[in-house]
Amino acid sequence: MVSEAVQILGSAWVTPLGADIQEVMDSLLAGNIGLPEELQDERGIPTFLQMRISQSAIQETQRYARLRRSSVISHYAVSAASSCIKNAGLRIEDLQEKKVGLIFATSDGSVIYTKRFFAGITCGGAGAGSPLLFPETVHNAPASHVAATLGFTGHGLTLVGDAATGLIACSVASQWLETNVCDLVLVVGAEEIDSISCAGYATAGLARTLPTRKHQLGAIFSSGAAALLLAPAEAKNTQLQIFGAKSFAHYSQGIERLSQLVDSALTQFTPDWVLSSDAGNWVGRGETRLLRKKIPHAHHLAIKQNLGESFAVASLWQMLIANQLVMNHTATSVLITALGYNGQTSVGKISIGHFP
Amino acid sequence: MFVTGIGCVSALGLDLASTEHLLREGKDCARDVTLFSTAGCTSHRAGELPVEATAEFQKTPLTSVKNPHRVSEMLWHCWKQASRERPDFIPQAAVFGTTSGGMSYGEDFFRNALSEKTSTNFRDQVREYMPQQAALDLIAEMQWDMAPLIISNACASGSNAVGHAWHLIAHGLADRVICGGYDALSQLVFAGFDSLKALSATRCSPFDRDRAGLLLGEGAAVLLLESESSAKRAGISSSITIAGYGVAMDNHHLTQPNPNGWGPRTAMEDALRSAGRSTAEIDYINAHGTATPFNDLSEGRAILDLFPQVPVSSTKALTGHALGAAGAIEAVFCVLALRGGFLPVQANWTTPDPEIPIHLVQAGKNYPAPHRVLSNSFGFGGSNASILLEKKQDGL
Repeated sequence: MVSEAVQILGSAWVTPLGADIQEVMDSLLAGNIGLPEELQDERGIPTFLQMRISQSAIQETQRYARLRRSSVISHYAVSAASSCIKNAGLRIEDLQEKKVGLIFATSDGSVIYTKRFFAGITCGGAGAGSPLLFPETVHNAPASHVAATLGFTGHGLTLVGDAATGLIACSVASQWLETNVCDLVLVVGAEEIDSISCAGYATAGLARTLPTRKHQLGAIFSSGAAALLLAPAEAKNTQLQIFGAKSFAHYSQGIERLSQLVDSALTQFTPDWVLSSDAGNWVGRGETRLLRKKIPHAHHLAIKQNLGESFAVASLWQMLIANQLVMNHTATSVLITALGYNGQTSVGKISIGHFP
Repeated sequence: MFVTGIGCVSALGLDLASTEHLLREGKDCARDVTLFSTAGCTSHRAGELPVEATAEFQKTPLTSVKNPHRVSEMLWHCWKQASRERPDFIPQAAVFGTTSGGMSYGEDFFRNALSEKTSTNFRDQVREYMPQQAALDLIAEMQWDMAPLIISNACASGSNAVGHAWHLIAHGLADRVICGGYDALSQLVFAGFDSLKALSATRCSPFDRDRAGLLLGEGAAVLLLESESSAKRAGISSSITIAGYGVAMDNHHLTQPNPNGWGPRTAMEDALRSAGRSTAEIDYINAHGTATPFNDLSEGRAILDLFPQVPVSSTKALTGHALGAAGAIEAVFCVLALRGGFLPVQANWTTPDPEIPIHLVQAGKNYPAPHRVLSNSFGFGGSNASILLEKKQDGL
């Protein structure tokens, strides 16, 4: 299902390279990489790598009483959402007059508190779980905090899935705008990284593990957030369109399904830039090989190798970056691809102008 | 648009006939938890699937999935029921609600990580733990070409999934959508609700003055929604439709609804508005009715405001609260009620609550067959959803 084009009125992010859009873009295009730090496994042994998010990213959100017991994922989500509204030139009060929908996208959700809660009952028995942790483990807790902070009371969905979920969330937003359910839709994604999720991905050889070895494949994971404020498309503005999503049962079928989506997109336009979801592991390498073969003359950028693998959030980062490239005339049209680790793939496009 | 197929597994049974029988009887099917230890918890009971579930699922298992989680088997079983009602249904979209997916596999993975065990099953565990995996397993088994939309709006997820599917067809974005929900009991979630003192040590008694909390449940449900033109082309007859859908985000508190009932009231009004119906046209309400002090008061006040005379019951007294699956399971219960011309009774209700003098469905009393019903689901994070189902006189 190809979505109707929408425009991005505002955007914001929390990334390992910072939160200022222009600073992160400059840093990215200069080839800078987020600072990796060691992550210990359940036995206390440094086993994985993650890219740090600066503590300053959640300085502003500390003042919200509602977040006082929340894990960082909610802080990142609220930070990105609030900044996105400001970036769009709006105040929270301006939104009360409009029908604003909220779609929250996440892959592993509130994994830090989930593990902490379960560790408590594993060690202390089923009656030992902390009531302070459990409510924050639900997938829609961050969305709930965003809604409360911004005063949203209408349509709200939390979508879960793999890296393709950011793109899928934007396609749902497009449906809401197309059918006048909402005047605006805020799409927010947030992730937090824990060693247990790294261990899970490591079972499929997807994670970079310590000690590092030369030419080692594997993703470095990162926490973070992104937010896009979407509205119905207008000619001459940058526009986002999603070319559908597919699922797959194994890697080779994933490559085949991604190929079908890319072929479908290429019947409609020729991108001069391609932003893939290659995070430096064997899945991403397959994606890059496919894209370079199909679109050899475009600039190819794999932003996860700079910002880390942040699943659903990373696909929103890809869209934000594509939007910036088009807005500052570096690119004319950008193909965005996401090949997830859990059976979903999706493709999108950002360009200037009216879609046929 | 029409509901052309349904499937459901819950504590009431593994097929629609058994489910309807126990629904009519109003039988509380909660029992002692056998899936994991509840030592140290206040409650030890839940709406587990019947004991024969595992054996029944093994009769026609998923063939393309290694080590599927129970929740994948539940969804597969529901699909088979629905596809018997509506053969050759090929969906264009799939929308499901869940809160925890294959959580018990995640628990096993964590325990093994602590104890340094290794296992070739780890990759399967990690895969099947993911909330979207049950839907992906179904899509893979049927070789459908789509990606599922997985909604995780806490206890409103199942209703949100049905509502979103309705939206797609009502606005011409799809002709055939499979929707539903799934959730399985897990120790983590059980302990979580117990830590909040939200679980009853005895039974689930919605709207009772002495209600003492919820019992958890598990299950899955599938509804096949189809545009009128698609159903006619396929020669399918149905008279049941999803007529409306309403939502509201209540920002009062992460786990407690606004006691003034704003969220439930707004969601129900929104559902009526979307269907072009008035409060006077509703014949029955399947309440969220978890039997927690807060939910029942909030929802009860909203129902009193809008529907003071409409019969109400919460079937969670029979099944327990199946979280992300609940909204979809209860939508199936409403379809059964509309088809069968009956109202599910309010079980485990002995003492009226003077603060909630709503009209509860009582056993042994005759009620007119319903034509329009509301099904409510409200969840953590202030998610509120209400679906309006209707039996059309001029069905297909």
